[in-house]
Amino acid sequence: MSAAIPANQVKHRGRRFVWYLPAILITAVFAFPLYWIGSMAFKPARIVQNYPPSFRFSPTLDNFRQVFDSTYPDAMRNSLIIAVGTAVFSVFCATLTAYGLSRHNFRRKDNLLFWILSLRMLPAVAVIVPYSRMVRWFDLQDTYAAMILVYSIFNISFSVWLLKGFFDEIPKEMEEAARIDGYGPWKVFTDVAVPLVIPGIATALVFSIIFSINEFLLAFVLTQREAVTAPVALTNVFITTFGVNWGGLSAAAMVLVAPVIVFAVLVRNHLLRGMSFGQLD
Amino acid sequence: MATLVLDQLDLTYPDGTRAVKSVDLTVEEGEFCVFLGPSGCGKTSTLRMIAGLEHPTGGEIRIDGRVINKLYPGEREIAMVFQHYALYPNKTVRDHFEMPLKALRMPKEERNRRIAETAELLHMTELLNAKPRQLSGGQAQRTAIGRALIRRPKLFLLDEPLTSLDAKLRLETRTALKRLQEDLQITTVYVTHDQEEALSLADKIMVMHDGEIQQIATSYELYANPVNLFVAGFIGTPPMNTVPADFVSERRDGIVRAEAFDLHLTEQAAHAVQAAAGDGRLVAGVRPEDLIVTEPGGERELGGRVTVIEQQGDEWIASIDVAPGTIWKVRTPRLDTDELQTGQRVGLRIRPGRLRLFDAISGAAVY
Amino acid sequence: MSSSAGSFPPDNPQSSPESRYAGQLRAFPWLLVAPTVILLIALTIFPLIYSLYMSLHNFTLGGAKTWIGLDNYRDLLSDRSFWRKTWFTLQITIFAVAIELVLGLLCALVLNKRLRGLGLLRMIVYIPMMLSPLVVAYFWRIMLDGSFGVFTWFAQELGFGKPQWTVDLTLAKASIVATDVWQWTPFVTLLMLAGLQAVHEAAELDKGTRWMTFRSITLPYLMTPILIAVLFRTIDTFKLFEAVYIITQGGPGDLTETLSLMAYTVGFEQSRIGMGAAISWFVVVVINVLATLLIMLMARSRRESVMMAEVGDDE
Repeated sequence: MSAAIPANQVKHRGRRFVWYLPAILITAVFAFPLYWIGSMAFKPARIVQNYPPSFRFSPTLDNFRQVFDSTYPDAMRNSLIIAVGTAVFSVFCATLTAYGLSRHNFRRKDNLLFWILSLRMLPAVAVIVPYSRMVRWFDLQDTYAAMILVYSIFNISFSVWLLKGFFDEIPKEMEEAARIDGYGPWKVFTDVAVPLVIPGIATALVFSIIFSINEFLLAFVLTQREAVTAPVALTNVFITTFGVNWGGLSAAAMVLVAPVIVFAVLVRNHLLRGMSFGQLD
Repeated sequence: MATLVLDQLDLTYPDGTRAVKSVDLTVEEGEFCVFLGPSGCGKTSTLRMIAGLEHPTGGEIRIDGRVINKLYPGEREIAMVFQHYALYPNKTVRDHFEMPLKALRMPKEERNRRIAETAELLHMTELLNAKPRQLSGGQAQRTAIGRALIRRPKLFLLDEPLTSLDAKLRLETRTALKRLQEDLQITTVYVTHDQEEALSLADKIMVMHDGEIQQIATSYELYANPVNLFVAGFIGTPPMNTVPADFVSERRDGIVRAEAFDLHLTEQAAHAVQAAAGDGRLVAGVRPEDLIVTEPGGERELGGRVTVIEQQGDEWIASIDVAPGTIWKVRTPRLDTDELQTGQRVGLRIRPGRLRLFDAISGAAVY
Repeated sequence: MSSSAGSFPPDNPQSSPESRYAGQLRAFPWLLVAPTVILLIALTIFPLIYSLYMSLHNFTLGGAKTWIGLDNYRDLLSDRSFWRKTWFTLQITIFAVAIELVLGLLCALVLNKRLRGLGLLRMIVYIPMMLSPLVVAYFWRIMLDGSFGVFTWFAQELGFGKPQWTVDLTLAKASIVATDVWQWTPFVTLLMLAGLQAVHEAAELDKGTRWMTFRSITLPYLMTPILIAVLFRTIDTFKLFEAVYIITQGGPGDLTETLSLMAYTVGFEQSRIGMGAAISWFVVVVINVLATLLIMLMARSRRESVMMAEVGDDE
């Protein structure tokens, strides 16, 4: 509380830069594990388990070579297929539903919306037991189809909420104008509304892909050989009865992390909406 | 080109609000009809019902005798320009023009011919590949008009299409719009809250208030002979001067007695008041331009002190306190009143035949 | 005077023709919603009911089942280790959510300054919440390794000896909480920053003491993000699986087993499917109760925070 106002302002401006210090500190804390596992991935096998840990070393790509020589790339391919399949299928369903919920009035619409949201909260552990038996009924054990269906449940409910927010933002007039121009209800949806929510659809696709790439428990229970996903492979490719290949594990983890970071940067403008289910904007 | 008929049209929202109450209207072929009223008066709801965007809860809408109540907007052969134009940020001007034609399944060559023709008409040939964010306000508005007219609709609907333009452009566009409508001879319904716009554009004006029709008339009729106090107060800037007054009958004619002054009635006016068979409690009204400034008069004669003088080009608008708490405005050409000054006491004379009388209770015009 | 209208009779009186879109219009909303609703019923409501059905049976390895009524639930509720695991799950949840809230808010206050380059720092801070919980668990598993972990070395350098993170119960709990906190504090920060954007103007006026400004202006605006954060984090942490499975494997003994891990172990590793289903039903019920309570709290506080924010504006 200094007396002279101009002096106070000058001081204030200078003081703002002090905030860089805690900001960089915070960033360092959150970045450190990434840095550390990243450095593990480049460490030669003989120093990976050094104690005290070595900070300075000449980096090698041996660990990554091991990763690509193992069955891990197959698992990554599985993850990618399942993730893309899930994203396309769930965002397609969610786009229809979100539009329906945004533009039409139903009886009990709020209940339906709340129910859809609550399904995203459903603990995976609550359904792994019944799913593990249901996939057998339809002979879908260890298949992409089963994984895509199961992941879609979680992603549809998320995408419905996200996309409803985007549809709600389209001015009503834009659709009315198209109806007067002679576009039927379906054409208004496909030719007017959908093109206007492309950013939302892209965001939903990316979030869906991230979810599928990251998920572990359901894939762990529902896949055995053919459809094993990358996170599941992480737990069994580098961990054998003879010990753990920590360098390879670190490299594999970084290989999984890299695309997720790229995707996160892609959706940075919609991160808040995505992470809060469209509850905050 | 078509005749539009609204027959006992009614709109009640699910929450029970009655937005439009038994509206009856005929818009003749090629006529330019304006719905005028304050916001929330039901004019836009009425327009939206004609467009098929709102479903009437009663009555019929007919175009050329055919009831269109249940038709989808696109089946009504109408076109509409929205207040904010409703242009798509991701589509070009050409796309906007093409949309209604595609919906009509028109062959490609025919579409291109029409687009070229419409672009020519609206001076937009150079802009066909532009997207909305590259357009100025006026160009965006022309895009909306072109998109509406390109399908050659039977009925052209406009919902406050000039409000998003700046004042100068609004005036130019108004003129252009009027000429376009006259050239195309297209039946038009135009919604606005701006009376100046309404008076200058319309062949026929429907004034609405609280969901009800107040008056359907030409610009001049509306101005000269408002049917009630609402129309009298709504039309004209500044609005009509009013004062509560009681009718007092004298031998052959009569006077109306306001708090501070008396006004003498003509024989006709007195007859009209007597014929109306009210309880004699009236509201007297005079338009600002129907008052003439004179020398101060005597006791209980119309007049007062000048409180404010506003200059508007070659006109002055003087505020005069004709009674305690009642300010009347006088519009007078500058030449006539060189010597008018704030604080000065003046008398006022009403141009012959220009005094209007309304029933104090119902607001209906008596004379 | 006024051209009265409406008396004009139509040329050929007829009732209004139906629109050819009438059928499409009626069916459209249902067509939009139906695929999702059918899918969600088939893959959530049905499995939950089926799970309930399974929990009322005893399954043998061969797949034969016998109806045992509520026996699984009775056994479960009288099992002391089950209650211990429930309490442990709650403990982890409470600690993790509380720490994430406080740290998340502090980080948001720091990162909210309008300084060049802070956008990039924010983006880096947001990364952990986008990562796979399994990968994050491995990150911490590696850093906390008893023989080569970098945090083990840090602790030793700071004079705490050479801690056995996953052997000592308190340290094991702390490790699990720390993993969750590292991954999810950024999420709270993200929500808080959104709340802070809303108060930016008001808070920068700098009238009164900083604490007064914070309490009367900033905090009311933050109520909604805080409650959303608490809701999401509580539910997610309560079903925690990966960190425990990877870092402590539930150890020492089964002292750090969460309910999710227990349901998995019982249902799959021990193949007691009926019991596993019973445990998962318990988790569903608890999460429902928690969510309902928090949402009720949220609805009430949203109204209050609006009122408080209005009072704040008047000052």
